[in-house]
Amino acid sequence: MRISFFLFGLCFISGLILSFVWEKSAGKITANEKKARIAAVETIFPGEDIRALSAGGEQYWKAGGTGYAFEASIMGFQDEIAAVVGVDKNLNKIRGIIILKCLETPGLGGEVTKDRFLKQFRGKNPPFSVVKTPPRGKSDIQAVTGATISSRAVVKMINERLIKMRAVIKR
Amino acid sequence: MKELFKGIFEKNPILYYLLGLCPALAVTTNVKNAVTMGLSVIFVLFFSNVIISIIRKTVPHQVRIASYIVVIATFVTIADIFIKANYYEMSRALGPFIPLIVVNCIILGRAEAFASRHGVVSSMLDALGMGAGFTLVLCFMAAVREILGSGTFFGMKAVPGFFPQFLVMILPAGAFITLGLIVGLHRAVDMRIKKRDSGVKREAVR
Repeated sequence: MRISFFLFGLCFISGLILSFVWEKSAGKITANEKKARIAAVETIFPGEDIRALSAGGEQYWKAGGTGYAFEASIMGFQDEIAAVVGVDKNLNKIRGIIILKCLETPGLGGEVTKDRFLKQFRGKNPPFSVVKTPPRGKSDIQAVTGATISSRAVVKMINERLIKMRAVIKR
Repeated sequence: MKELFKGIFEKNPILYYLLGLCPALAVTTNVKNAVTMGLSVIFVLFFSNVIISIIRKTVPHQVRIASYIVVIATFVTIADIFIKANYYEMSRALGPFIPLIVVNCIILGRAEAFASRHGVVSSMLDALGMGAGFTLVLCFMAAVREILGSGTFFGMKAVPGFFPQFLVMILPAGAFITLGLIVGLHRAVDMRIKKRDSGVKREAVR
């Protein structure tokens, strides 16, 4: 009885403190994340005129006449993986991917944020599929060794988001 | 005072207890990361030691570890939110390593081995000493690896252009090499000091 009360009290106090701290900093964190998203779009489309647009309840960016960018997220192995994806003006080829949030295991799942994995998407034809051997087909993405779940998550995220955003932007 | 200084050299958490090696190996690719990591650990260690020392007589023995983890996790989350709000670039560079302080064995180790048995003031000093020892080793390792591996210090150019850069130093292998050499150096210096001290004592007895 005493044990349960003690643990309950401790967790309750901890929850109170954390919600207070979060309340104080949430605004700043949101602003930082917004800045990081725009910086990511500018990295994918350097020197282009970037405009934020929205259609059908979805937000995206138009980069001059060269392409579009949009956000994507999916549940990874440990937590959500979030990214900004840039595509060409036909919404067919990937121009660049920048991972914004990834809490996967450093050294294994964490490797999906590295260019070594992400550069595979450039110039290939969606929908992408995951392979564990060096890629042969035109849509093959080689998974990171020891991180098949994280790799699959990223590929699934891009495939699904691309289909969705094609419908939104073309309209 | 003994509580404060033992963590810095003699009982250094990394070099003597070999605790907290995961962050020591992982974030020491540059000095900036090491400083942020070190300061976060000092913050978490200090406050969790204080709280655990205060509640040490009320906490039921069977669930003490669970209670310590709740306390530690609270402070880690505060540190994580603070860094995200004020040093966003830093939080992206360190990625999951700040949340992973929860499972850093230095903090639970000090809670169980020290704060749960000592008063608030000595627990504070112990936390500051251990935290400082951890931070110093992290910074030293990071300085060695950053200067040799990327030729910079705190992001600024530190070596003349003709000096070669050893890529291996910023890869995980470089972390193990650096850590091994530092632990060895610490042992050697420590043994030298112990020998000298015992010599002095013998002189005094005679």
